[in-house]
Amino acid sequence: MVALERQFEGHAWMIPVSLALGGVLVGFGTRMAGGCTSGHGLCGVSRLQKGSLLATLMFFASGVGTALLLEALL
Amino acid sequence: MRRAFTVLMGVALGFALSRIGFTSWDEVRRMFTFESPRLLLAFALAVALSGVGWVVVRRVSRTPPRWSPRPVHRGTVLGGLLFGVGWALSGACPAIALVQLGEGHLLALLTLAGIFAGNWLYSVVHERWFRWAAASCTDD
Repeated sequence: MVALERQFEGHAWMIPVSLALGGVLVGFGTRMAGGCTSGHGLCGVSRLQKGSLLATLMFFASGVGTALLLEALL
Repeated sequence: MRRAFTVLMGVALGFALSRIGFTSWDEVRRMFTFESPRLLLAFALAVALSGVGWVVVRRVSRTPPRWSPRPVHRGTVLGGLLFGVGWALSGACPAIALVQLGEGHLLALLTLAGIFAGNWLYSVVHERWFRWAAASCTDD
């Protein structure tokens, strides 16, 4: 997690906030989507479940968006 | 016997995730910004192998696991999007946070606390506002 310090250079307080807030969204999102990257991404997709494919696409779409946004803002 | 096998698989998964770099916040970031294809390729390979394994087990087993198309349930899109934001912010999904803890990254406790809180929060929100049946990973 060394790069965490680099990404939030100068705003170290953001690290615990990012982890905790990220965690809340992961916990909430997992329940709402009925699975996480393991459940939907690994199990569901490999069993060709449509809902899992959709969920996984959503994971990556917002993951990419968020990461790019962080890059642009920080 | 079954339990021992499950533990063994868990250890193997944790080891693999750690070794490949899924537990690294930076590696995850690099995956999302397309700087590095490593994690995405590893994920794709894992899915492919899992798919092959599934077919083999179904053919070979005397009590093959059932498969039926599961309905795409209502929370999938929004839940998935929220998950992705959280994944990019924390660098972790539930399993990864646990492996990070195993690696000794105490900061992962923050992530885990968040996950538990988010989980609880969902129960509250679902109870009050959502009318659909909440699915779970163990549904069949």
